[in-house]
Amino acid sequence: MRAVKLMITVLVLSGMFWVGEASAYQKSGKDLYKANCRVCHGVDSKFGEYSPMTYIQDQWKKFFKVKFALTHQGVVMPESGKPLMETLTPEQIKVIEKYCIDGAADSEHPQTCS
Amino acid sequence: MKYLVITIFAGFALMMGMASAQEYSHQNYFENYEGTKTCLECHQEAAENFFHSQHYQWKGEAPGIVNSRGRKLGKINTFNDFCTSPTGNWIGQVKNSRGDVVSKGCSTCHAGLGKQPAEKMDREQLENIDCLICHASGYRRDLYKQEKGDWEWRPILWKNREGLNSVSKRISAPTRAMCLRCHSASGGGPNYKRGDLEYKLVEAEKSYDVHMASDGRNMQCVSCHAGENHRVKGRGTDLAGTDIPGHSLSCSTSECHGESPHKVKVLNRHTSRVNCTVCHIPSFARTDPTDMVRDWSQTVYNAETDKYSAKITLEKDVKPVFAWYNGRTKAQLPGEPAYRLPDGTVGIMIPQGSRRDPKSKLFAFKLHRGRLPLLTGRNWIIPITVEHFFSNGELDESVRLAARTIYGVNDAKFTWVDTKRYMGIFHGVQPAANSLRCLDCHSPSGRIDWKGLGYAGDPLDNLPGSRSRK
Ligand code: HEC
Ligand code: HEC
Ligand code: HEC
Ligand code: HEC
Ligand code: HEC
Ligand code: HEC
Ligand code: HEC
Repeated sequence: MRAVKLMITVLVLSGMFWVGEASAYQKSGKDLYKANCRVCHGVDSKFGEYSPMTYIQDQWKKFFKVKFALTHQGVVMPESGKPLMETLTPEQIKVIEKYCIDGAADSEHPQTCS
Repeated sequence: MKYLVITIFAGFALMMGMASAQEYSHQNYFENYEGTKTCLECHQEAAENFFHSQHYQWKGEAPGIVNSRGRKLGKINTFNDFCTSPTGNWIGQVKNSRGDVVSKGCSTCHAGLGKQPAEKMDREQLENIDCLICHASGYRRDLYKQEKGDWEWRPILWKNREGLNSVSKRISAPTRAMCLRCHSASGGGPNYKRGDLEYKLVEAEKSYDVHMASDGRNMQCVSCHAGENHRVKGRGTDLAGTDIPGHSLSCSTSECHGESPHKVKVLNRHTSRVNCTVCHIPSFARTDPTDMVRDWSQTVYNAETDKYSAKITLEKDVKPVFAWYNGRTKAQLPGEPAYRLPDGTVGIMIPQGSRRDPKSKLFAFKLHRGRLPLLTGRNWIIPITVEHFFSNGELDESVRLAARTIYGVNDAKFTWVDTKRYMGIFHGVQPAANSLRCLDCHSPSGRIDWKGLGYAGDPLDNLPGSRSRK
């Protein structure tokens, strides 16, 4: 039963996010990515270079579902010293996720975010 | 309530998408994609066929070119009035003063991984074929430097094993999107070159193209163009070589529409002299503007991209011009005296035919104008070493460089000549209701220049009861 509930929550959440206005998200997605991800994942970064086209869509989906929170629990923003997870709201993370998926290596228009 | 339904539906669709993503056609055919050699294990013969094709060799038999004199012709050994010539521009990054890449060479549009096509087939050449560009959805490539220093095209996912293995297994017959990876981007920008092969065709509606509309017939490029053994049908009117000599691709063959597709008799009487496209493609470049004039004598600097280019005049929603065409073309080839048209311009690709030639019909064309350098003393057109020019705008030097590479002439002197090229318009057939009507042609302000096409005047004027009778 709990599994079913969880399933429904996931469905509802993912549905909300997919029904959203694509164009409005697009621009802020890039800005959010630049400010909150690219700072640590630019060219030659010691944490690895990551741009939307580093991964395929499936990999981004998996990453945000199971890995993102785990791997970024402890990281702090270079300028503010604030933890990344406290800098971003869950909605903003959703926007970044959508930007990554839309610009993934196997999307119509892969993005480098440079 | 409605919201909930949409939500559940969307969520469901998402899950379906994720589930089906795991089942690609080549899921179980190999483990790791190691480049073309993975495909060769099972498709050696397909690769050998592809090696000999126009798409790989960039040259082939050219019976459609009146002055070919039996030579094999194609992009590799001719030039044009867009990016001029691949000689000296094959591969490599050209950077502007800011260090941004402004050009990657002509191999951007070659179905190979960076090496120039060779005459002789060997393992290295077969492994150079880029199968994925025509067969894998989600594939994308970019230019990288090998350890030895040579440039090569590689999947952008080359460092991501899992991603690359996924994309390289999504194999199918070529879709529109795959063919358009090259064909809608040729000439330096979206739809610049052909005008009727827009990226829009990936997902178009019926009012845009009755054949390829995704909500209509949903025909793929290969529905019309697939031949056998990796040979494609059709060379259009302004390409030199052809994959299948003796075959012509046309709307009026029996397997498509035939010569008499109309209920209205008078329309069927037109088809022996007026090609279908003339009435059924009233305009082209309806979404992205196309390059109508490229003046290489003028240097334009674009501050935003920090790149130099020729002066390009773009136009949208262009009406085609009409000219007689009997299936053959006169080409301006390198090292041959400039071929002057009656108006003094040089004809780069000129359709042959006339009203008196019964094999000729009127065809619809994009008339592309240009301005190119002419070698003084020899009367030969000189291409331009565009890779040199894009980054620094040194026009004269870029012309002299090309004269040296192509003709072995040092310190070339040159003048500028105006050029014309007729490019057949064949895509973007609109619904019948939009086709040209009688008065679009049979009226003084109509699209047809009767005298220019060899008529005494509009034939309707000479019919009993017509308006010009005194
Ligand atoms: C403060 C620096 C920092 C910021 C900001 C940051 N990351 Fe990271 N990221 C890291 C570190 C550290 C790792 C772990 C590197 C390692 O040791 O493998 C990492 C790992 C990753 C990985 C690889 C995970 C794996 O599979 O191993 C991805 C993908 C990633 N980050 C994406 C993002 C995205 C997307 C954002 C923006 C929402 C982001 N990162 C913001 C520091 C950062
Ligand atoms: C282990 C053998 C094997 C390997 C390796 C392999 N294929 Fe195939 N391929 C097949 C078989 C068998 C078929 C026919 C049945 C099918 O469509 O699945 C096929 C069919 C195809 C088709 C026709 C698809 C269609 O739907 O019309 C294409 C195109 C193709 N392969 C390309 C490739 C490319 C490109 C590679 C390299 C990435 C590759 N194949 C690797 C066995 C292989
Ligand atoms: C420029 C686009 C293009 C490239 C590059 C290309 N193909 Fe194809 N391929 C086609 C087209 C078009 C067809 C369908 C008709 C045909 O056979 O010509 C096709 C059909 C096929 C088929 C199925 C029919 C057959 O001949 O067995 C296979 C298998 C195939 N290709 C494999 C390959 C392999 C392997 C490579 C790389 C060595 C490759 N193709 C490169 C365009 C391409
Ligand atoms: C309904 C049939 C049809 C479809 C679908 C179609 N074409 Fe064509 N195409 C033609 C015809 C007819 C010609 C003219 C052939 C000739 O005269 O040799 C042509 C010519 C061409 C040429 C030669 C250059 C030119 O434009 O004159 C290219 C390149 C081409 N097509 C690419 C494509 C691509 C890419 C697609 C898919 C986006 C496509 N075609 C879809 C019918 C079609
Ligand atoms: C890698 C880039 C690339 C891809 C992908 C590509 N083409 Fe081409 N195609 C070219 C180039 C370049 C030429 C011109 C070759 C020449 O004139 O020497 C050409 C020529 C043609 C021609 C004219 C052939 C002739 O005989 O002159 C047709 C038709 C055509 N392509 C159709 C297609 C179709 C259909 C597809 C998808 C299956 C496709 N192309 C995919 C680059 C590409
Ligand atoms: C002189 C102009 C002209 C030429 C040339 C022409 N058509 Fe048409 N075509 C029309 C017009 C106008 C209509 C719409 C007829 C109507 O509304 O009754 C039409 C309708 C059609 C239809 C829709 C059939 C129907 O009855 O609704 C098809 C299919 C068609 N044409 C194919 C072709 C083909 C194939 C060719 C070349 C063999 C061709 N046409 C040449 C003007 C032309
Ligand atoms: C694309 C322009 C175009 C359109 C549209 C067009 N015509 Fe014509 N028409 C021509 C041309 C060109 C000729 C001369 C053909 C020849 O050389 O035999 C012609 C010839 C004729 C002739 C004299 C020859 C004959 O077949 O009897 C008549 C009558 C005629 N058209 C009527 C019409 C009518 C009626 C319509 C509308 C249903 C129409 N045309 C639409 C271009 C057009």
